This record gives sequence, structure tokens and C-alpha cells, in this order.
Amino acid sequence: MRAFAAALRIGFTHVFAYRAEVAIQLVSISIVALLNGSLWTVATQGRAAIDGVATVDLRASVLVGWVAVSFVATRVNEEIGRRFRDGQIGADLLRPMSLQRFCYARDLGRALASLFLQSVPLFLACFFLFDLPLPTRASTWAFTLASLLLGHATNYGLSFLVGIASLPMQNISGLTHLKGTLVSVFSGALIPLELFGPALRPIVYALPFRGMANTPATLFLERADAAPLLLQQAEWALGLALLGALAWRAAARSLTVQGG
Amino acid sequence: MRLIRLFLAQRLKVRLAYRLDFLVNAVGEVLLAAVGLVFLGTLFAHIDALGAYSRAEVLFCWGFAETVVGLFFVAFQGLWVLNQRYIVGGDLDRVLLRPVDPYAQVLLDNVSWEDLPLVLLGAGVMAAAAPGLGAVPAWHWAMLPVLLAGGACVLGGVLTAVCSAGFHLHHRGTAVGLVFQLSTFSRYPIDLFALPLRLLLTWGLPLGFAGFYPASFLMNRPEWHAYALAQPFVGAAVLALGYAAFRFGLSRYASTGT
Repeated sequence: MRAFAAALRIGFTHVFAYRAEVAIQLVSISIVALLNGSLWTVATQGRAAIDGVATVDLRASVLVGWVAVSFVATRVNEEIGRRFRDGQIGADLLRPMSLQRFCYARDLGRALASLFLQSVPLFLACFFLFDLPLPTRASTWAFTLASLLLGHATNYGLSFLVGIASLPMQNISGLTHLKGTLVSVFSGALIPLELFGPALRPIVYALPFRGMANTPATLFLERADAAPLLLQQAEWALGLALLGALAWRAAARSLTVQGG
Repeated sequence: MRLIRLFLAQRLKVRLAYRLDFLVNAVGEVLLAAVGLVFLGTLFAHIDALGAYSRAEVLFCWGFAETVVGLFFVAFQGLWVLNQRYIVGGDLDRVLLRPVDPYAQVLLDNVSWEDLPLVLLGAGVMAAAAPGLGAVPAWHWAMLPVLLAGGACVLGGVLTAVCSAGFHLHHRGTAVGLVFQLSTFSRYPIDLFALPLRLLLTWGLPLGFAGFYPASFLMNRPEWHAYALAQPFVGAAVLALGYAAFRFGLSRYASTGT
């Protein structure tokens, strides 16, 4: 537990060393929020509802979902790929905690720092520009936070698997692109999942990507019961973590580190 | 001219040496770009106009901008690595020793053939949307290649100027992606956005000229045609300014010695 906390702290403080980059990224994600907010405003002008969903809700769901993505986003796949390439992985094997746990702790620290430095400012900007509703119940904040943490764990689980895949595949830029595409389309941060139509919707709702944006947004906007949604997120997060542990064990066995 | 051909062929050979990597990258780029299409597709499955613009007009504008971005990626990929590899990394010293214009070398050495599918994707979307556009005189269509090239020049010029700040600041070039991100707005009709943003994209960082303004020339939207006609000149001027910024930065260049 002490090691976990230490790794978490490293990730947290690391973010503050790159303030300029954090600021640039904040502007960058705000640009996307402004673009999406404007487009959905225009698209829904003069309509009360699309497909039975109130248009105000659609816009709010996309924007809050985008704020959620700013928290759950991780580049751990690239980092693990790099560790394989430059041999750092050899030192990782000597650590008193598994690579999966170590990277998770560090990435969680990084995400928590970016919660304050990026997600909160981004939310405030969206709140003032696009008139987002605030929760009416205190418990909503707790549910949203829990959902965000689970969403991050899910995204971490996927990214870890992509990172491990760099061992057999040598190059993961293709897989990274693929994952980015799937997250963009199926998380609900860009396209409201409600609009996918009755045939596709059950499938999209069952995928893990929903937990990265749509689920926290739905809970924040108080549009569904928390328990089943959080349970679904927890299942994905845990399942992917188990899969990651198995993949890591298989990878560690076949790994050859060049000395030097 | 012969030199340019040799550079381009060499670049293609370098990339084809890792054939699978090349293919995977190309497919990945197209996938990411197609997200925008899925977005528009879902949107227009439920509504039939975005503000005052029809589905065909919005799609055409998106396709035009995608083609421009594809051309830009093919030709100006060198900008992406200018700061990291050339200025901070010191590769620029090697470039300066050769008797060819350094800007041309940086660009030609990094021509990114794998982004060509983006051009095709954009062109395909334009072709699909074209029949739904209002009628315009035939010579407007003859201008299309000029407008596309002009758009790529606008993007290239603006980003060259931003990159050239790296000569003075020695940064890692993340601001480049930020300015590029702004160009996403030019994929949509500009009057969908708030006035300050419109002014910025027209007079500040003229990225509107890389997408909507020239695309409007092929729609029956005469109110924007003056901007479209000015676009090739804007493109040339912006690229010249970017080049001047590059030369100015180069004159202050001190090698990092690595």
C-alpha cells in the first residue's frame, strides 16, 4: 500500500513539472468542447426533442462526457510500448510491485492532478458557455466521482492491453489509432449514445467505452439509477484488469531484454 | 526539379521498407478521420439541416477540409518534427551543409505518403456530396484544384510560422498541435460559430481559408464568394509569411551542438 501511495504521488507531482504543456492541453480540449457545444446548439435549435430525448439533454450529455474524457484519458499504452523498446522493462521486473499496479498508481496520480488542472476548469468553461445543469442531490457528486474513477480504471485496462500488445506486434500505432477511434465513437463524448437507434443502442451500451464518458455524464445529469451503471463499469474495469494481468504474465515469460 | 523527384522517390522507398507499418499507419489515419464522418452521419440521420446549411453542403465542406488536411499532411509533415528533431535534436546542422534550400529539405525529407488516403477520403466525400449542392457556374469547379492547393498553403504557412517560434524558444512544439486543432472549425460553415471565433479564423489565424471559405465557392452561397476568390492570394501570402518567419528564425539559429 505504501508503494502504491508513493507511485501515486510521483504521478501527481510529475504533472506540475510540465505546466506549460498542461495549459496548452487545456486550451486544446476547450477548443473541442467549444466546437461540439456550438455544433449541437445549432443542430438542436428549434427542436424540443430528437428521438424522444430532450435536445438540451443531448448537448449536456456530450459536453459533460467530454469533461469526463479529459479525466479518464491515459497514454499508458505509449508508455508501456516505450518501456519494452528501450529496455526499461528489465528494471520494472525488479520492482516490488507488478508493472500493472505500478503504472496504474502513477497514472491515477496523473489523472487526479489533471482533474484539478484540466477537468474542473473545462467543466466551468462549459458550464458558463453552454448553461449546464448542476446536480440537485449531494449523492450525485459521490456517484459521479466513483464513476469517473471506474471509467479511468477501464480506460487504463484497455490501454495496458494495447501496451502489452507492442511486445508481439512491435508497433502499436495502429492499435492506438483503433482504440482512439472506438473511444471517440462509442464513449458518448462526441456523439450522444442515445442517437444510435434501437438496433445498435443495446450493443453500444454494453461496450466498455460507455463507461468513459456516457456513464459518468448520465449519473452527473441524474438521468438513471447509479447502482446498475456503476456495477457495469466495475465489471469492465475488473475484467480488463484480470485480462491485463494474464497478458502481462504471458508477455513477461517470453520477454528477452537486451543487456546494456 | 530532378532533385525534388529524387527526394520524393527516396522518401517513398524509406517508408516502403517497413511495409506493414506503412499500411497500418495509413489505415489508422483514415479510421481516425472517419470519426468525423460517423459524427455527421449520426447527426444527419436525425436532422436534415445544420442551421441554414443543408446536409450536402455540410458534408461537402467537411470533405473539402479533409482533402486539404490530407494534402497538408503529405507535404508539410516535416513541420511536426522540426522542433524536436531538427532544432532541439540538432539534425538541422546536417541540412544546412547541403546546397539546397533548408526549408525545402525539411519538407521533402519528411513527405508523408501514408497520408494520401486522407486526400482520397476527403475527395470521396466531396464527390458524394456534390450532386446535392446548388448550381454554380462550371468555372467554379475548374478552380477546385487551385482552392485545394491554396488551402494546404494556408495551413502550411500558419503552422510554419508557429513552428518557427521554436528557433527562439527551443520548445517541444506542442503549440503546433494546438493551432492545428483550431483548423477543425474550418470544417464547418463559419457562421455557425460565435463572432469572436469567426474574426479569429478570418483575420487572426486565417484557418477559415483552409476549409469553409473556399468550399463555399462550389455552393450557391454568393455572400462568401469574395472570400473564396481571395483565398489563393491569402494562401500564397500566408505561405510566404511562414517562409519569412522560417528564414528569420534560421538567421538566429544557434546549434545545440548535439
